[in-house]
Amino acid sequence: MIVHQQLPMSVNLASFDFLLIEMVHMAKRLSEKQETVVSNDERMEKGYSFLENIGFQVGRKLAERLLLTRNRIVESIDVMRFLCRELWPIVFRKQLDNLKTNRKGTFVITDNYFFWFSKMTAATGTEMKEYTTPYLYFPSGFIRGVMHTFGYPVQVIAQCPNLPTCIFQVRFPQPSNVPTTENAASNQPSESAQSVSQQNTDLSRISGRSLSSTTLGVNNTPSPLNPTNPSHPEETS
Amino acid sequence: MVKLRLVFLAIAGPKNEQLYLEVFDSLEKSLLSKYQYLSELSLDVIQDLVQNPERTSNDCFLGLLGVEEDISTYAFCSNTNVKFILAVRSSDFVVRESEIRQLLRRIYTIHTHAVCNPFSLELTPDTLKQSLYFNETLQQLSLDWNNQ
Repeated sequence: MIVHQQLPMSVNLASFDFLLIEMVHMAKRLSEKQETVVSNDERMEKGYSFLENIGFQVGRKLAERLLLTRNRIVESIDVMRFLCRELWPIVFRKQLDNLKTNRKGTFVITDNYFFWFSKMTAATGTEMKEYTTPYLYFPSGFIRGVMHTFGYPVQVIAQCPNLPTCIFQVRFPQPSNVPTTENAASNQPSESAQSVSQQNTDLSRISGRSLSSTTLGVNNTPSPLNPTNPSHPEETS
Repeated sequence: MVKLRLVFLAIAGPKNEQLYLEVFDSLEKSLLSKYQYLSELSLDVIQDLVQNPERTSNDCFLGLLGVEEDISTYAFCSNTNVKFILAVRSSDFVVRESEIRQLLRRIYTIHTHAVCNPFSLELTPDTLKQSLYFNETLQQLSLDWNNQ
């Protein structure tokens, strides 16, 4: 049963905020207890991966609930539109500002004024990266969960170049036999990058049906822990 | 004894694996393999229907799939690629499509409620079998419908 509330849900939102902050702190404590890993980044990835899993489950189930009353959504573009227009305002309280694509299976979601970061410190550079990275695991897991509900094993990369802007890159699996560079990446789908040049991929406005990378689930390998499985689905153009 | 109108309900996941198959009449448990065969057939028909690029309607309810002997199957394909196949006995009774549509939508709703259980991690063939909520509500639904 879905209740669309018009009144501001202050108790819900406040408790969600507090819960998330405490979860991030707990993940940080967990990650500090790890003794066997080598570098700082690796330790952070291992410790925070459970945050990402939580986001994944939340994304999956929320998407299932919201799809109850809807007609079929087939294209990957429609899926992204559903994510941006309907899911994002529910969880993050505001609409997404920008959605771009480069027709080869990558979407870039930009959110200016990500509200979790709006009250954060005014530090810049590496300090800011340290502060904001833990909080990015949950949203990237969330996006991955939503995509998984539709059957797309995507890879999500989250960056925070300026406070409070956030950028999420969503990479769909390529429908060809050539293994792409995404397959060489590690299993952890979210990382923080300092260089701004990563955002300057080939971006153009969305149009047309050139992006569908999967059929309705026959040849998919939607295992959640292995988003980089090369699959051979048929094109539905 | 009056025969029950609903014969079986099959639920198939995104990779066409069978998640749930329930035969409503307890006397017909021996025909389980026949119903499994029927549900696989229906899955093939669904796949054809869904991948047809000339499909105009964007609806989830796929309608009547086929009639075999006296059993007619209806299907519903959700956005998450979970397919619901319902078979009714159509020889003795007149079945209206709107009723089936409503029933399938209700089944989809309770399936979603059962899957959104925060303690269930993956959608395996056991998830629905072990969910008390799903089993009981399904029984209730089928009883209500049969007693109409």
